[in-house]
Amino acid sequence: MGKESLPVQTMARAAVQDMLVPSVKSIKERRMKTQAALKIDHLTKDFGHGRGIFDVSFEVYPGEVFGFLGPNGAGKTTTIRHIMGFTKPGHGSVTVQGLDATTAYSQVMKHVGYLPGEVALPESVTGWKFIKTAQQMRHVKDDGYLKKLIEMFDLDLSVNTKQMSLGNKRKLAVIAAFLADPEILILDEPTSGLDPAMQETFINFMVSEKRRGKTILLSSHIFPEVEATCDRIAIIKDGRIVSQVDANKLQSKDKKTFELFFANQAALQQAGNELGGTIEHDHLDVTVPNDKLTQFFNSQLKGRQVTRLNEVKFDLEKYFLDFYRTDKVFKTI
Amino acid sequence: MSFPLLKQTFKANFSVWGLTTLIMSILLGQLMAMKETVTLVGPMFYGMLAPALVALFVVIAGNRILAGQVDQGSMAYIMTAPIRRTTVAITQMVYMIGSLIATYGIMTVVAVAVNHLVDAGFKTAVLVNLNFGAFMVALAFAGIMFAASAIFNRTKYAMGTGGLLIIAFILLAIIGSFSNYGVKGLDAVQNLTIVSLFDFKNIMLEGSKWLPKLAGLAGVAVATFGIGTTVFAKKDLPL
Repeated sequence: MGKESLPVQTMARAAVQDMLVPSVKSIKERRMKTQAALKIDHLTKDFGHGRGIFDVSFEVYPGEVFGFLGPNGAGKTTTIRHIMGFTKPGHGSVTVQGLDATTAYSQVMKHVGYLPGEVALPESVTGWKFIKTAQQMRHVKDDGYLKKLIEMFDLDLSVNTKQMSLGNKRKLAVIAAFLADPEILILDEPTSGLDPAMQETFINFMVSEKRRGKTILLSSHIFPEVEATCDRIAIIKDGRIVSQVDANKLQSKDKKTFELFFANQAALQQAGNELGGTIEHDHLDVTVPNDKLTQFFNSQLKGRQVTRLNEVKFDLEKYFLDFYRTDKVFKTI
Repeated sequence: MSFPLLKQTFKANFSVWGLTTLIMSILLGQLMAMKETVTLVGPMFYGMLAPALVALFVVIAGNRILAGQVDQGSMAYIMTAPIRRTTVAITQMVYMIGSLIATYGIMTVVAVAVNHLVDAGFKTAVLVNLNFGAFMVALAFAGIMFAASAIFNRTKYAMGTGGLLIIAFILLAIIGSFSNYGVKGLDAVQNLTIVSLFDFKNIMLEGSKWLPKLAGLAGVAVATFGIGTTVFAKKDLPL
């Protein structure tokens, strides 16, 4: 049975398994030469009562945008705290640019910019003062990148932090975190709580930084920003990585899936027999490779009583939510 | 030590430091300047007011320099700079000690100047020693608050331990001071508070017992600042 006949979700899972089983090796081989920018190795921190993170392992390679998805409380922030050296691992280790993040954290900070999930700026200072202190503490002498950031985010720095809106506070936090132009950006839910326009500004920032070759770890549960930026995605649930996928493979750009609705049951059955695919209650799911699309529309659908046709787009959100709804199925992966 | 951080801490706490120092200096000058109150300089000012007033600054600033910023989250912006945690703790410690030196330095100048102006009858050495002793009390308080601020990630716990302990020491010192006015049974209370290690009576009598007692306060300061710095460097930060 060809993949074309599998329902969409099973297909996505198959794509994941494909990716995990044979190609992980090739990816590893390919990357053996490059040192991981970020390496989380069997990281465990048990807070008791089942809380914490358990045996978390993943690597982020230079120039890669790595999506780190999971619901609130899944362990995203805990993992990030280990990367920043704020928390010491129970077991395992975190390495950033070959440096141990727990012991050599002050060295690590030279390569890393961190945007905390909760923006907590010091009170009663103006934006300028805050930026100046951040600059001095990071020993940044060159204003060039800072000016670019201020321009990009269009922020009035003469305002006291107390009077800033959440969006402006977040902008200020971004500028402070990245004014040293670090190679690795750690973003903990950078757009949560922001309006769509502001979200777009941040997504644009991430995309432009990605183009400049930055390595980005993006923790999020907002799917559009993950879809727009990430090369690979890890999903964490209850402190464990439940899936690691290649974002480009998930989106399966070389084929399309359609839902076909027919005028009557007989036509549906007939189409099912002749076109392949799977019959789902009242419609037929068919997956067609891109190069066969013309043929599919011109000849294969000809004369059939198709009343409606929907393209089933791959939906990261749906895929992601599956991990939370269908526990049993995915425990085996 | 990090100078940008020191500057930030200095600015953030300038008003509470300035106000405390100003009030203490005015009170001291006032008590010394008036014939009716000059006898109160020892028991009332150095025995109660000085420890109580400086505690305001010590508790507020001490809480703010570590626990406050961890609790609020702004410590993240300090900790994401290429700086060691030990350096952060030592910088904040330097700020606390430096401010107290400045406070008691100013008070010494005020005391000596007022003494000279109104001829209050103190020997300069006595005034210097009184302020030095009071400084040692403040230093021990600062150490206690610093340790609490470094150990806890929440201000309510830092306040509830360090702050409460300091207030308890001051209250016990005040209660214990009634033994000077004939309530002999309260003598033992003096042993419950580190404030009594500052023997202002002995200093005013130009005795020699007061100096070794101050070593006790120095010991408290060394231990608490040491514990605070070590714990802060090792603990998990919720940032």
